[in-house]
Amino acid sequence: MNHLSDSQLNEYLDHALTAAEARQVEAHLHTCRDCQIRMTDLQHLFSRLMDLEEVPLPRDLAALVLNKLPHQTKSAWTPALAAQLGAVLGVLAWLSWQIAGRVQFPNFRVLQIPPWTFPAMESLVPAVNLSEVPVRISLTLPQLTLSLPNLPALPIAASAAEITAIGIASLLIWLAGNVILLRGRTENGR
Amino acid sequence: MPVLRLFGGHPAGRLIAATFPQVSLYYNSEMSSTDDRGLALRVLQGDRTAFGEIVLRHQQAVFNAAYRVVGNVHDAEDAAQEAFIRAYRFFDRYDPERPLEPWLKRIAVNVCLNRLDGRRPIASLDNELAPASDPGPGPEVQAVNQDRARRIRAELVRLPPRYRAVIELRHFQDLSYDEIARELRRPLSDVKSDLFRARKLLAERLKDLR
Repeated sequence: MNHLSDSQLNEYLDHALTAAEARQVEAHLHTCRDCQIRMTDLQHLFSRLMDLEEVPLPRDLAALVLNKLPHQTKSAWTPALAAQLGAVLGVLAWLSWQIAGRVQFPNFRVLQIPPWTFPAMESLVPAVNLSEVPVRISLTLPQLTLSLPNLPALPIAASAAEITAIGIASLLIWLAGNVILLRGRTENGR
Repeated sequence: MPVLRLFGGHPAGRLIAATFPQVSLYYNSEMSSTDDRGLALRVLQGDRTAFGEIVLRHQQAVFNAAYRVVGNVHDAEDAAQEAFIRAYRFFDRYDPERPLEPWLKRIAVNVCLNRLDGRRPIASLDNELAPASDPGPGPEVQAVNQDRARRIRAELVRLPPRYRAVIELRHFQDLSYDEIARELRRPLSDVKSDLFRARKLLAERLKDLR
């Protein structure tokens, strides 16, 4: 006779079997002493765990938890932060668009390095007359010439008032956002 | 913070209050879940004091869930605190229409598992704390019950952490296999395998227990 598997016994006690499967298990248990013993052992374990009493909490955790809580739940601060970031990014995007429409970007020149050839040995080590003392050796290093690209010129003078206004607006939006975000801390005395 | 006495007239509550006067702040099962719902809605609106009341109500249950998994008071207290803090941070994920305490206890189990991950199993428990409810007639019966409880807890703690977690979630939090798998983010077959092996080990080790 095939005995019940551990899985069958466990799932029977956990009410995880279908009605038909449960009936099969019950039918087997009626005829199999070994499986009855295994089932009884498992049932005893269930009872022992169920009867395990709770222990008292040695101290109140509420004050400790409240002291460690973050200032606001995510649900409270996320929209405010998103609104703040969105507003500032919007202003910056508009500013960029305004500038992009007016600036003539120059063609950048690639940094040019003139071709460098190893100088002739005669130029590095001049002829030495060993009969002369002291010996003089002079080295001449090749010279590199670098040219910087031309930087774009922004039409600052033409829209200085606008840019100043946009900058002030960005600052005010940012400050307003900070006030909203920090209000929770202020309310909690932090 | 206002001191709340939540015992009502229950004898178990009076016993706890007499034994631990400093901790007279236990959740009373008579309180309805609608109170939790109201508190949860207040927390979602940013009311921190409402969360303090939630901690008062459920700290006993959350602590015990952690205690069964980690096996000592100090770690269980720490885990319970961390569970509450995590619950607060992610409170927007809680559905106020569902019971609050099971959600908190599940968080506590996950916190414990994270803490136990990679740590060696705890060999011994603290001296068993007195049970929270009236143990019944006479000091002898009480002593026997406490010995039995201590032994069961000791054997629980000897299990690997993932075995403890499935035992906790199935036997003490009444989750189904599927719910445990979702909670622990593990395959259903692994959950069942761990649960059945944990029970087998426990049953063998507790066989001599009267």
